[in-house]
Amino acid sequence: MGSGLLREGWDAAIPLLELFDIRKDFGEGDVLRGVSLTVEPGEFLTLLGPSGCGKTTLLRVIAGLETPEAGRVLLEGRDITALPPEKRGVNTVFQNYALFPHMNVQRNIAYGLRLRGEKRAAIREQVERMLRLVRLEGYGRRMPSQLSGGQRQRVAIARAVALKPALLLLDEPLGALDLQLRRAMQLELKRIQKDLGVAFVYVTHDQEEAINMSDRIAVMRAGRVEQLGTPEEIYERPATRFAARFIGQTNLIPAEVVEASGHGELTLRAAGVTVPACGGAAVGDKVSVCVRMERVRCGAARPDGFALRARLAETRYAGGFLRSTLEVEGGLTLEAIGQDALGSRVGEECFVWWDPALAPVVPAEDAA
Amino acid sequence: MRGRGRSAWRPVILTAVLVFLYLPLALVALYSFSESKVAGVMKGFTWDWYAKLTRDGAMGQALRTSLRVAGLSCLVSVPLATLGAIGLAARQSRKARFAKLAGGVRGLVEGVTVLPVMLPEVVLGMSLMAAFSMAGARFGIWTLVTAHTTFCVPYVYLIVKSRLAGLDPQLTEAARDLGAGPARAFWDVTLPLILPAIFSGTLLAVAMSFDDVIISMFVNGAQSTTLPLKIYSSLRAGVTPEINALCTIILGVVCLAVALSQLLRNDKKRGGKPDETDNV
Ligand SMILES: Nc1ncnc2c1ncn2[C@@H]1O[C@H](COP(=O)(O)OP(=O)(O)OP(=O)(O)O)[C@@H](O)[C@H]1O
Ligand SMILES: [Mg+2]
Repeated sequence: MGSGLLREGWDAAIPLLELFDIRKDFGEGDVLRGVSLTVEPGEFLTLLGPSGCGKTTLLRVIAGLETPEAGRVLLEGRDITALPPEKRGVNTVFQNYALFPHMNVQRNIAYGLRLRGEKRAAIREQVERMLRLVRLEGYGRRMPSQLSGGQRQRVAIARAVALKPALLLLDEPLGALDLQLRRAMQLELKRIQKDLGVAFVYVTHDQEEAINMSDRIAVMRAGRVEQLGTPEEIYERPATRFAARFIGQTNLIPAEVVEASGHGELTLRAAGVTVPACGGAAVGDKVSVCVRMERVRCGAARPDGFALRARLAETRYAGGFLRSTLEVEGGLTLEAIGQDALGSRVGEECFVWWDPALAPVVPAEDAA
Repeated sequence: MRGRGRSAWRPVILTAVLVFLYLPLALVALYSFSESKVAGVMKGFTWDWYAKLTRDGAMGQALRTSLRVAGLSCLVSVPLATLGAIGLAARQSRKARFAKLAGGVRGLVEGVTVLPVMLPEVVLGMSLMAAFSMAGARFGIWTLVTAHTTFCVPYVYLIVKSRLAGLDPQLTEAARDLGAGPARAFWDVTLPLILPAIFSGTLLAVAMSFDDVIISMFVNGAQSTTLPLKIYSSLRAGVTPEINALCTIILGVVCLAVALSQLLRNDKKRGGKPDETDNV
């Protein structure tokens, strides 16, 4: 970020795509409010965020289907902000596939190659290769209306990939599929991306999909990138309450820092109890302690060190694991997830604790 | 019980309506094959009246005029209406400030375009006649073509427009994304997909032009009598079997055009011409 000036000199490691402070306004308030990010060659970057946060709009800006009010789009160091979509060399898999209904599968896939003026034989060969890639050999002569949703989606991918773009934009390509097909297609997409070395900018609002597939995730909220990092970074060190809540299942405990060691170890006061956590904060800061549900420990015996008295209020079966509600002394309520029962029965007293090093703090208030 | 009673009546009512609508047409067709010289008497079966028609020079002349007018007015109205529909469906103005104004103008233009459908034909015919005389035009085939174009445009416009409105805008965007310029995307994607609608509109326009009497009455010239006008004027001498035969032919042509038009319009799922070719 902010490397715009440094980039004037020759730079061996030019990022594939750079966005600088992109703004977009359709007339009813800002949809994109200053988005900056970079995509490296061959990277799988996911845009993750709730409905209406501007993911599709951002993809369309990259593809050239929308003109931003402000900001710059650089592809391989070249400013393409003002280029029309056909001159960008970026291809898109649209949210609803957008296959040409009057062309069969072959002609759909060949369309971009034909426009490029490639030789017939080369086109035919490339189409065959693409059909093999998406495992649709023998479907070349079908019309799009004769395909299932998953097959259409694969044709859309083949059509976009056939042009061998350095960057592929995918807008919730698996949105319409059932869970099983979705899982299979996730693997398939990841394989295609690896095989071809194409960089993906991938839109989804499925956090699990994002974590499984991405090299990096951009968590978006209301037209901004709230946090950009590897799935692990976002999971382990969320930057905001929003990011913490959007990925993984988490307890957010409002607290105030009462003691801060120089090494990121914190002691906080929350609802009448004292809890430890980690992160960068100063004494007196109002924060939220982020304790992942699967990291809440519970037992009848008091462990060494930090622990809180609690009562097991409820246990629910949640598909493969159990989810428990714990009422902690001082009025705090925590949710915990575990493989098995927590060792206590509902209504019983127990102790609750967690590893402070795995409980980061985030600012108590998210910036609007 | 009431529901059942009503549903039992339904086919009866339907039949009555259909008989009321189509019996006269059927009778005309029937009598056109009658050997009797008196129209309205059925006797034997003959093609004579049809044969006689083909030898009737005046009728042939009228038929040629009708075809020419229909053809020429389609030639003008179809591209005009198609371009209009495409232009008005084009993307909204980018600047939100102008969106409202643009919307208003769009509505106005569309209203003016489709007005001739609502106007009484007599009024339209009269005003066209007045306009032509004022302009000092010679009444003849060109005034007919102009007038027919006027009332054909709205039909073609409405059909093409509804098709365009049903078109997924992402299809053109996908074409652009794959490297097609705006013109190429239109040619490769939009046009093939609206072609059935354009054909459908053309056929409807042909049908409208071919059977128009009232407007043609105001704007035709001495040397340019269309077929329906010819029939109308020869009716003064009474209904002859030839007229029956002629009406049957017109009926057939118009029915065919309208049926084809409907067929093309319903061909939505395919999205366009089937493309079974395999040569990539
Ligand atoms: N053409 C447009 N005109 C006006 N507003 C628009 C337009 N396109 C998008 N918006 C608005 O921009 C905001 C972001 O839309 P966008 O489609 O980018 O959301 P998204 O993050 O892709 O959501 P989803 O997950 O539901 O697809 C929405 O509030 C939407 O109403
Ligand atoms: Mg979207």
